[in-house]
Formats: sequence, structure tokens, C-alpha cells
Amino acid sequence: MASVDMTTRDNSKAPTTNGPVDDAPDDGIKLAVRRFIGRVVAVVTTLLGLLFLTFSMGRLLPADPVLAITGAEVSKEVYDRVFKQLGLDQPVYIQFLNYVRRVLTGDLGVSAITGQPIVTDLMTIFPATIELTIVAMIVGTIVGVPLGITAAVHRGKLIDHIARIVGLAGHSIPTFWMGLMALFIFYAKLQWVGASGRVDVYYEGIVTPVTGFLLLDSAMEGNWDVFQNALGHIILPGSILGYYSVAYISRMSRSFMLEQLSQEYIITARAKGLAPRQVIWRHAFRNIRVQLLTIIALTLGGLLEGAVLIETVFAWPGLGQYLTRGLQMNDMNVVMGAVLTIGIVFLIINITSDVLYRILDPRTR
Amino acid sequence: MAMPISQSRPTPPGIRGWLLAPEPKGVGQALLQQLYQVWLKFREHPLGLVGMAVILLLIFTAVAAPLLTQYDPIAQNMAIRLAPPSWEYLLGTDNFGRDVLARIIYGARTTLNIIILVTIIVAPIGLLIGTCSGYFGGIVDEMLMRITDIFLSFPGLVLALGFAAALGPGITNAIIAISLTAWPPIARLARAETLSLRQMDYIAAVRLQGASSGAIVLRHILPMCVPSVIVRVTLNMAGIILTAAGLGFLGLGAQPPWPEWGSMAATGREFMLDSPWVIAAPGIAIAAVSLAFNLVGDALRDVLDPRGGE
Amino acid sequence: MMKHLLAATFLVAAALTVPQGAALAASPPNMLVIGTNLTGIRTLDPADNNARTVSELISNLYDNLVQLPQNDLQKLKPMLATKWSASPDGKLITVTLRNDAVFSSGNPVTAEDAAWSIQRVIKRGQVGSTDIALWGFTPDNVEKLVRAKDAQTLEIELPIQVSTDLVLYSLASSSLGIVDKKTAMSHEANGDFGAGWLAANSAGSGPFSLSQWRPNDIAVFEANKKYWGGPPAMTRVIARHIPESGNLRLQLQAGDVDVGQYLASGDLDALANDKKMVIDNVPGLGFYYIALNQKDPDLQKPLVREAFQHAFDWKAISGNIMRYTGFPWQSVVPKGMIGAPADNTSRYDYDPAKAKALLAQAGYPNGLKKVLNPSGAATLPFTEALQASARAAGFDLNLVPGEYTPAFRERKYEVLLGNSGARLPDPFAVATQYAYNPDNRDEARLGSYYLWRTAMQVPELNTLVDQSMKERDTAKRTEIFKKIDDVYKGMNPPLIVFFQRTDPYVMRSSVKGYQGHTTWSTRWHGVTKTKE
Repeated sequence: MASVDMTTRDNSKAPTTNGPVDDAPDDGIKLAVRRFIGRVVAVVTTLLGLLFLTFSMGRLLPADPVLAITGAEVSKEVYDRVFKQLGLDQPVYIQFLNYVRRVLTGDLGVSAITGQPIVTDLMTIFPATIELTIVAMIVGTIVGVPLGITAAVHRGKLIDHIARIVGLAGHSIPTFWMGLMALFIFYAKLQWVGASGRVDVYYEGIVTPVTGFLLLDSAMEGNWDVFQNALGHIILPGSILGYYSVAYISRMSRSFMLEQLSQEYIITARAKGLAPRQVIWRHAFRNIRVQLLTIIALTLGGLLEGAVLIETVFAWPGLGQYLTRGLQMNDMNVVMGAVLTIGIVFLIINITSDVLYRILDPRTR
Repeated sequence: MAMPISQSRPTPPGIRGWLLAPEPKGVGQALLQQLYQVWLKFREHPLGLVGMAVILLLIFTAVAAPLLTQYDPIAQNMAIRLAPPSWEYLLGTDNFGRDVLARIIYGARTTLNIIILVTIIVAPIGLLIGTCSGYFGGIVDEMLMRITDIFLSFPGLVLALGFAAALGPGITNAIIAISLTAWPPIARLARAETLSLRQMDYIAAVRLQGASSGAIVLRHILPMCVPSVIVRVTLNMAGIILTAAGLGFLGLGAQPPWPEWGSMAATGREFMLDSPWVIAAPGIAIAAVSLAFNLVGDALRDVLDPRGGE
Repeated sequence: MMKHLLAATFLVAAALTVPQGAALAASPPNMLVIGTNLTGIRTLDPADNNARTVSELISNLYDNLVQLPQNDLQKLKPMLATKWSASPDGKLITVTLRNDAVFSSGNPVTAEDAAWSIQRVIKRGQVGSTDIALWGFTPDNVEKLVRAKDAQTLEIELPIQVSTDLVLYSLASSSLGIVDKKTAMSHEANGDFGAGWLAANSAGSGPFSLSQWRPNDIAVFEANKKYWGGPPAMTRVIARHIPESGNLRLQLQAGDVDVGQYLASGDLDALANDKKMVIDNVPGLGFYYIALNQKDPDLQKPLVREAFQHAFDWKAISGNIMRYTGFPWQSVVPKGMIGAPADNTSRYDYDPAKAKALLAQAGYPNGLKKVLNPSGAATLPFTEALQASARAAGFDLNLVPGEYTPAFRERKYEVLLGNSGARLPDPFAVATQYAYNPDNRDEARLGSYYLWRTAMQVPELNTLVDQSMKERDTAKRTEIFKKIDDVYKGMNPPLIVFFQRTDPYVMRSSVKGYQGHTTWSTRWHGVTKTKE
């Protein structure tokens, strides 16, 4: 979807915290501590950089932060007072420091379009996005892994090429367009799935939000009507978003599998006359499970990004829709808050995958 | 510029011979040779070649746009709005009675424009930052790579969205926003290349001749990184096109009335149910070009990194 | 892990193969689902709102003293007030309240609540006070002037001479919904008159009360079974944010949504052919206009403004893009109102050659380059049409899309295409927007007056608008509005009106009694649904 996209992600890029410190041999506690400190410093500077980026975005946005608070009908006196209150008369670097301080205390400001604190808004919408990306992840895995493995087994054959095109198409067709087309076919024409939103309107507000994940909440309450309805709503955006990650997952499964298939033990197993299906799934697949898991975790970032447009198309009340609406309505705090949240999630994913890599990949151990 | 690296030897005649000469005569020849080697392997990938053909078609369409359609892509004619595809209007007309095919054809210009400008902006910035980082090392490296990491740790589309909105709608701003998100991988790559180039004998030789660090980076290291950077940009191009389309879809791309595929799809959705041709055409166009770049990129990756591929 | 994933797939597949028919059926017969656009609604406090969608929501939570029937807008009808009278000089209006109305809290509705609600609107000074503040109320004098004489009698003393009808019209608008004082004040924080709490809660005596509110997403209303006018047939009403027109249309056709608002022209065309749908095109008190900022030296020239009058091929879009959203109209006095000119659509004909000549005469023989903005996404198609037709007339308009209403209010634009609406069913309401500007300084911040937004001031118009407010005689007022129209027509105004607004409401034919209101206070009390 963009520069940090999944097909082009490679190992050199995955860990965010690359630095000279990493290159040091890590025997000895001293080095380990130094490396740890180095990592913490890296995370903190990245976070500061993130804050700086969102801050400059907010400064550049053509929205008047005063009017965002007071509303359009405002007297000169009130305007000036709020202007001062917001510290807009201070030098820019002080404003930045104030911004950092506010963010650290969990204050992301108030949204001009909802009138609520950004943090409150985020609490209600973020689960919707996570739910969507998890469904997408499941779909991406279910389609991507078998596709990649089949391609590996039939390497160089027609089926390999088809698998490649199927995967790459998911990564080439604009998700928003695919979403619209899917709505047209599956909702408008075939009526197989629900329309936009998380549930049909009249199922709104029946289930008490506990986790915020509607599928989970309705299942826990045993309200299967709502569950089924919610499933009918999430399946389409979830599948399209999932398809977007198929290219990456299938590509990686394929190359992991190829590596396994060239291993000694597989050749031996084959020579012993074991059924190919058994060789592949029982033996080879078992060995790439861990690698696959890491890869699938890594797709979360890309899915989060893809969700921005998918949510807009499907009126999914999540982070992406929140962001795009903020952009369209020039709601500065919403844009800054949503971008920062996505950035932080990205950072967490990157750190986690970095750690996972270290723990799971024998070569870096 | 032409810097003899070693004693020249007689080479086989012809361009091919020149391209295959075991000892390139200069940086220029070395570069072309490198690319030629890539091409030799690349042409064994049928899907990659298909992708290449589509890209060439895009370039041709963009260049020859006025010859390919008789219609003005921006002239409105309300009398024929939303006309279905016919022999007269092969892809139908849109809500302002503009020929959709003409807008797709001229939209290729916008796409090509974005591709070229992003490349022109991103490649030098990434190269400069990457090579400096790699060559000078130490604190310079540390700082430059930290900045790169910060940009990398942001989802590209979100960052581009934020900046496109901050800068205001318009194709120039969209290009700037996309570029802001597209340079870090280039810088990373250039740095890695530089690190290995730095050890090379001829760099040491140049240094002994008394060349300044700046000159070494600009004259000897940077050009050597160009081929892999070009490859890398190609790999990212599909993503760039989709980001641009996404921006257009959200109203942050090209300004009306100039045709841009993403915004054409955005306006088309209003008429999707009854006049699907308005939205189908730009969506297919985006998908085709983006898929083409992905296919080329995929093939290139196989060529350059056999471990991950065949 | 993979096994679990596979198991999950089967679950998903199984759930999907269950016939979805039941789950996707139409909304229940005692529930009304309205698909609308909730963007920009930060609060449901009556005092803080006056825009279209939110007015409808508030009008069903709060009762007004009086109401305006849609079939005869200028005929006031009782609501919380049973009767009202004005003193002979028109300076004192006495209102008698009904005694059987109660708030959803159980508190009775008293004159004290009514007085406090009016005071509150003035003291809050938010957009809700735009109309009523015109009658001279200020935070300092309102407590003295608007008072409860006894539990059932409200007195409104007017500081200036105003036509009694205008005052009563303003009391019918959603901003002047009567709020439960006790309940609201029990939630007061920092002297906000309970505004913080009322943003997401209701404290009215209306037929519905708010049960759920998620900004930009959904508002759920539960029927008030003890409503003084009898319990509404709909036990639940849901207003759902469905900004995507195509989506809304599909949901209407599937029966998921009963009433649709803000549909795009293409979808309206299609729904018009659907036998299960009814489109009610409600006339509005506003226009589609081109605004020319008079702070721009080029646009200050009358000849340039005149050129703009002939640069827009409005006829080309009137049958398609504008088919449901407006009809040709070129006067600032709305159709059907006193003083409205009979024939006015020949004032601004599209004549690119003439426009070009005017531009040349103004000193721009090579055309004029300006930035053009739509007021928002809804007016973008009109802007594109204007851009294309104005090109032939020598205008090179650089169209920058986005939300420009805030910039318009701040006078930060060059050329803008927008639409307006008003809440008082009287030409005066529109005249204040289009012809009134008492203080042209930037600091005055009179953003609710469109003429101020264009930075033009015409003393003669100010006087006429003032007169139209004070005059109580209908014949004389008719003359005043005619005069306003004449002056406006003759001055190459910075606000060029091309269409009068209409608001299409689409509903399923099973919905009865839902009637979109010209002043936006659409009420759901009488809505019923028949079997399809």
C-alpha cells in the first residue's frame, strides 16, 4: 500500500532499532546491558520523532485550533483568551514541549467533530479496528499459507504462476475499489452479507460492550442473533483486508517451504516412499510454523494501514474512518491523535517482531 | 568522470560485447553492465515481462495521449452525462458527460507524472542520506539512520495522508507527501551498499590520490548505488501508485478537473450502482499498473535475491 | 495453531451458510431507522445547535412553546403553550403553558423552565442564539426580560420593536426547546448551565428521550410513553450516520433503513424509479450561491462581480445534479414568501461572451485567475460545473476541494460556492443572512451574516432589514422585501444566488407521517409504519 508495504518488507528493515549497538557481539552482561540501554534510547528517540512528526502535521493543518474548541461563534475576547490558554502565543519549541507533556499525561486534546476527548473516542473505536484486522489476519493466513505451500510444491509450474498472480493481485488492486465492488456484488446484488457498519442498525446497542469486540461480546452474552449479524458485516471488509496480506504471507510461506523441501530429511522421507501430502504437512510444515507465526504477526502493521481505506468504504467505525474524517473535516486533534496511535502501534509491532526474531530465529540467537 | 579502474583489454565488438566486457572502462559502463546482467536474468521471467509490457504501455499512453483519443478529458457536456459504453464512447461518460476513456488515457499522464516526480525526489534524497550515513559512519550515521527509522516506523499511507491533508489538496502536495514516506527504504539500501563499497580497493586508491570525502561519495560511491536503488524504487512503485490512488480517493490527489484515477474512482462510487463503468475503468487501470510493477518487482527480486525465489 | 485456525474457518463458513434472510430483514414495524449524516454534531444541547440534521434530533427530545405546521408554515400552532398574546404596542408577549406536560425526569414543565431555557440560550451565546439574539436580548438583560409570572405563565418583554410573529417563529426553532431546569442544573459544571451533560443526554419533555449517543455514529431514541400528546407509535428511533450515499441507498432498498437523508443525485434518480420509495422534496429557506470575497481587490470591482453573474451555466445542471436539491431562483427573497418576485430566473443568464467582455472592461482582457472552493463535499459537483463553464467566460478557477465553511466564516477565501438555510419562515431570516452587515470589521466576527463573510456593507440594506424586523403590518413588510430585492439586484451583489434549496427526504412507502420540515424541526411523533 505504501513504502512500508508487505511484499517489500525484508529482514534488513523489520527491526526498527537497528544501530551500531546491535552489531556488537553479545557475550557478557555488560554488553547485554549496553545493548538494552541502546535499545531503550532508540525507542525513546523514535517515539520523540513520532511526536515531532504529528506535531508538525498539526501545525501545518489549515485548521484554527482555537475555533476547534470554541466553535465558530466566538467573540474576540474569548478567542484571545483561548489562544493564550492553548499557549499559541508561545515559541514553537515550547509548544512542542507542551505537546509532548500533554501526550505523556494521556491528553490528546478534544475532537472538534465529536466534542469528546480524543482518548475517549479512541477507546470506543480502536477495538473495532482490531477486530477487523484480526479477522483479516485469519483470512490472510487461511488463504495465504496454503497458497504459498502449494506454489512451493509445484514450483515453476503453472499453478505456481497462478498462485503468484492471485497473491500479487490482492496487493495491486486498490482496496477501496475492491471494497466498493464487493459491496456492489455481495450486498447489493446477492444480499449475502450485511451492509456497512458493524451490525444492522436495529441490532445496535443490544450487546453490552465488555471487550469492545462485538463478536466476542455477543458470543459471551450468548446473543447469537447479534453474533451472526456482526459476522455477516465483518466478513466482507475482513476478507478484502485479508486478501491484501495474502501476497506477503503466501510469498513467505513459499520461500520457507522451498527451503524446507531442499533439506536432507525431506529428501530422505520422500525416498522412503512417504506420501507427498504427509511429507509436506507432517514434516515440512511443522518446521516452518514458528517462522510463519512471526511473519503473520508482522502483517498486522500493513493491515492496520489498509484498514484506513477499507473502513472508509465500509463505514466501519474504527480508527481509519476516524482518521479520514478528521482529515476531511480539518480536525487537527483527531488527525494528530489517530496518526500517533497508529504510529505507536507500529512501533510496538516492530519491537515485538524484533524480539520475536531474536528469540525464534536460530541464526540471530 | 571516466576513471580507469584497471588496464583496458580489447573487448568483443558490438554493444553486447561492450556490455559483457569483463573489465568495465568506467563507472558508466560498469553501471550499464550491472543492469544488463539483471536484464539477462530478468527476461527469463514471463510474468515480469508481462509487467514490463504494461508499464511500457502506460508510458506510451501517457506520451501519446492526444493521439489516442479525440475527446477533451475536461470538457463537460451535461446532455450526455452517464452515457453507457458505446462505439462513440468506448468506456461511457461520467457524471459531467466527459469521455471516461479520454480521462483514463490522460490520467495515465498524472500517474506517470507521480511516478517520475516521486522517483526524482526520492532517489537523490535517499541516495545522499544513505551514502553519507554509510561512508562517514559514527555520529552522522547514527543520526541519519535514527531519522530514517522514525519515518520507517510510520505506516506510509497514514503519514502521506497526514501530510497531504496538512499541505492541502493538489497533485504537487500529494507527490511531496508520498516522497516524504518513500525515501527511507532507499536510504537504508544505499547505506548498506556504501558499507560494502567503502571496503573496495578502488575507493582506497581514490582516497590515496587525495580526493575529498565529498568527492568520493558523490563521484565514486553514489553512482555505484544507482542500479540497486532503481530496482528498489521499482519494487516500491506499486505501493506508491496505490498510495497516490488512495490519496486521490480521499480527495487529496489531483485537483479537479484534471483526471486522476483515484479521484475518478471516488466520484464514480456515487454512480456505481447504475453506471458502473465510471468506477470500473479507473479501478482496473490502477490495478493493472500496480500489478505490472508488482510483477516486475517480483521478478527483479528473484533475479537479485535467488535465496528467496527459485 | 493451524488446526485452530482451520476450526475457526469452519465456524465462520458454517455461520455464513445459515440462511441470512431473517438476519437481514427489514427494520421492525415499531422502529424507525433514519440514515443520515451526523458529521459535525458535537453535542445535542439545543442551545449549541441550529443546523439541519441536529435540529431534527433535538426537536424530538425537546418540545417548543409553539410549532409551525409544515403545510402552513406561518400559522403558529400550540405545543407546550396553549395560548399567547401580545400587548398592543407589541413589547410584551404573554404565553400560557399547558399543565399536563412532564419532562422525562418526571418533573412538571413550568414557566420557570421555559424562562430559564430562553435565558440559557442567550447566556450560552452559541449558534443556537443566532435568531433570538436579534430581538435585542443580551446575557445582562435577558433574566429581567424573560420571566415566569407564575407556574403556567411566561412573560417575554422585548427590548426593541419587533414583529410579534418573528419572535414566536424563533421560539419554534429547535434551539429554543424547553429544557428541564432542575435536571440540567443538577449536572452543571463550571457555570455551563449543564451543557457538558446535555451534550450526550436529554432533559426534555418531547415524545422521545435519548438512550444512546455516539458522535458521528449513532443516536438512539426511546419513546416517552407518558408523552402529553399520547405515546408515539414508534417505540424506538435510530438515527444512523451513513455518509456514503450509495450505501444508504442500498440499505433503503434492502429495508434496513426507513428514511434516507443527504442522498446524492445519482442515487435519488434511481430511487425515484423504485416503487417502494417515496421522495419528498421539501423546500428550504436558503439558496445555492457564489460568494465573492470583497477583501480581494479584483473581486471588489463591480464589473468582475457582474461577469460572474454570466459565467455559470446553471441551466446545464438544473435538470440533473440539481434535480432534487434545488430549483432555479435568483432573488434573495425565497419563493412563496411575501415580497418574492414572480419571475426572476432571467437575471443571470449564462453568456460567456458577455462575461468575457465585462472582464476586459474591468481591466482583465486575458481573463482572471482565482481560487475556487466548495463550502464542503456536498457542493463539490456544483463547483466543478462552475469551473468548467467559467473557463469559457475567461475565468481560470483553481478548484481546491475540502471543507471551507470555516474559512468562509473567517473570510479566508476568494471565490466560494455554498448553500445556506434558515429557520424562521419569514423573508427576514434570509435577508439578515444575505443583506445585513452591521459591522464590517474583521474583529466583529459576525460570521452568521453571509454579507459580512463577503466583507461588504450596504447601509441602505441594513436599514431595510431593520425595518422589516420592526414592522408589524404585512403589506408594508411586503414592500420592504420587494425593495430589498431591488437594491440587491441592482448592486452586483457579492452573493450571487442561482438556486433555491430543496431537501430531498427518501422514505420507504411503508412509512407514513414522516414529513421533512422546511425549518428542520421534523417531528416523529406521528410516524407510523404499515406492513409492506
